[in-house]
Amino acid sequence: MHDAAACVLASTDGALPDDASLRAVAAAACAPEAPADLSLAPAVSTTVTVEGESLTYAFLAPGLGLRPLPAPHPEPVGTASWGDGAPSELRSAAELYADGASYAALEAAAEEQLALWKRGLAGVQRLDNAERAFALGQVRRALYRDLGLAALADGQPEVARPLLEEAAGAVPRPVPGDGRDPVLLAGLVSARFQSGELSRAAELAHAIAQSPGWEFADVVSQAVARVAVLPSPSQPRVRR
Amino acid sequence: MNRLLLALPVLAGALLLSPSTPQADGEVAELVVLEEQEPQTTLPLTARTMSEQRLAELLFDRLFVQGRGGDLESRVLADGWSARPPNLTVTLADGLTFSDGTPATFSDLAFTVNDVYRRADVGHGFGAWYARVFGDVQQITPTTGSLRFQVQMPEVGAERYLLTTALFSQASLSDGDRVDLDRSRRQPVGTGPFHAAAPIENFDDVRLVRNPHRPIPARVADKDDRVPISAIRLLYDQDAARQKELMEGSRAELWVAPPPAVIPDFKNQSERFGVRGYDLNQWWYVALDHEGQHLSDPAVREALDLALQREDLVAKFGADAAKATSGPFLPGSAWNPADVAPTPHDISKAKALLEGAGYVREGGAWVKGGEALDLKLGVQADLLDDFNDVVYGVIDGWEDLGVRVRVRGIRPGDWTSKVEAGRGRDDYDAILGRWNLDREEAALELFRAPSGDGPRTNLFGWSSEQTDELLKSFYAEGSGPVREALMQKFHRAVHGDRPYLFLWTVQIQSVVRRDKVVGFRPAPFYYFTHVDQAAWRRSK
Repeated sequence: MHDAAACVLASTDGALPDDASLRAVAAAACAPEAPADLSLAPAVSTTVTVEGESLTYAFLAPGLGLRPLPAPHPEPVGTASWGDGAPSELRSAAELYADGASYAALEAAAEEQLALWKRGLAGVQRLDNAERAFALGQVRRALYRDLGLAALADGQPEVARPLLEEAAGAVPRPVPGDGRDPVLLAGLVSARFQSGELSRAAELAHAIAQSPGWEFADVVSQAVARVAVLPSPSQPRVRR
Repeated sequence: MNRLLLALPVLAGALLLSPSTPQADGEVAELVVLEEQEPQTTLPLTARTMSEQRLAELLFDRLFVQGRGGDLESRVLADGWSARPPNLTVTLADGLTFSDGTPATFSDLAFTVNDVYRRADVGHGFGAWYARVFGDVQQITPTTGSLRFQVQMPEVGAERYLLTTALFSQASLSDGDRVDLDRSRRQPVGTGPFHAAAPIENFDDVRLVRNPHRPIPARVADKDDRVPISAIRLLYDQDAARQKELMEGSRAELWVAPPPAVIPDFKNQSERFGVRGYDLNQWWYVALDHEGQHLSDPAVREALDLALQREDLVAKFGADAAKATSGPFLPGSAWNPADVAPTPHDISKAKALLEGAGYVREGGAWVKGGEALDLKLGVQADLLDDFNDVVYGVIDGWEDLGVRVRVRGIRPGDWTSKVEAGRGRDDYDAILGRWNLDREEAALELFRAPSGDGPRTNLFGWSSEQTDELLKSFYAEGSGPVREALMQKFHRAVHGDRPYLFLWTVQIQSVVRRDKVVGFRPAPFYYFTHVDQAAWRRSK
């Protein structure tokens, strides 16, 4: 994250003092943080600004071929922004969430949307099956991410948790990486914590802290770990 | 052991399964659940395995449970319980009825606590704890009464003491004045979401139907897209390959604890299958007989620890499901000291330790005083069946060191009658198994002397003056930081003395047919807590 910020500063006129060595350091930060080339459709992307950071996301618009989405979009990226140029039957995560806040309803609605995406991708002749599966997987995770974060913001951690777990790839121990941005994982930490999965929340916060610039998450991890071992009066249970 | 032969009867039964058709008119569809080991009991207070506990969750209600949002809820008690130390006054929920149609009264709750949980002589291991915490439960009206606390009762949160207490029917567990926990074993009577309409004949294939006296939650009953689950079938003791076939062949809807290695196959079919985390605090171990001829020497125990290739074996679980451990508290726990790491593989050091302990190599074996260093290793049978490569990876590490190992699977009946009865050392020098804990503190049960006539989880009866003192201080201590420091010392002490070789922790994920079932999510440790919210998805 620090590198990305330095890179932005280096490419912005007047953002840094007139110091050659400082500019060189900042410019060097651009290399490792270059936007990932998904090789699937690198031209299809949108750029957004989050907390002052310029971030690029690559997406496909299903059924429309490799048509770039309008960019930059002023709002945080998510399925809400796909609607701008996508077929009308595709609905944003915000719309889906507004329709039904139970997990079952949201999952059903999400799967319906994904079925639409799947049909749309099937019509894109330039993609082979593996690429379609990859694209659909990315869309699935983005959609579940937005739904999960919406549920979390709405005070429904018990709904948010399984949605965010799905967005994180339904893996036992998610770690930051491709498709698992810090906002998603931090949301999952919160949802796990609020749902009583304290040890798993602490473990994930610790995993987030391993990313450069996110070391502060270890403070959260330690705090949650301490809550997890607070005395509970019920009799402990051990099972085979 | 011939796994195929053992599996044949089960396979024959499973072949009779046909794909569920929940939407068919007039047909009672069963939710087919793939479970682990065959249960030996249906009562929650005698459950020793997770599969027994899960079965009991379907049949009985606990007095309080943790809701999905983290708050405490009760299906058994009406809202508005009141705390006036030392008494917690509660009223049974309106209309609460046992599965046999008998109305539940407060006398059932009084019986549950006074005559079952607080008794140390009726066949469970919780008597001492309940007798210490609770005094006599007093009935006030037919549905109201009070629980008296003998420990200092908090005005807020006293109900947390009752998170593990289930409600029993007095009529179903009484034989005259005598409490008989086996009386209704085959047809238990509870207020849980399901019940056995007929006595359970085969405990490897348990069929339950919805408790007709329990209301269907509004979020299921009022939704057009859902059909309540009216029957459930639990299949036990099948090997993982067969379970995978059943899931993929539409013959089962829920696989509780699949081996982590199969999860990616289901994730690749995300339209049909959902993967749900099951927070269990599970860790694997090898318990060592610290009084055994060879294993009484700490150097031998350490050598065996150093011979294990944890990191290689952890990788066999796949998908980062497992993580190596260094002691009873898991990585990331506040009680896990940062300076204690899982024992690294170091065969040279292991050999040096054996030589230093007086062993010499003779004919490929380590010998001391004319006795070869052989080990009889007992392995929980389900682990031997489903995680064969991991188990033999452990053994390979020891055999690479030059230790001969004879392996025997421990069937559930032997575990109960021998290992948990404190006679494990008659047959085994070491035991490979796994524990599941509801929270970190539960690990301390494994290092304490057994009390009452319940199961013995301190498998070889290990203790030390240091850890006994640490435990004593821990239970007398109120300060969080001090407790944390004590437990970190405890972790170090147990890691150093090695009554157990701590292997790894495994994160379990369940697989559910998301295209057929809605609203199912496992709760931490108590898997079926919210099973009422699950329903068949009605096809459009």
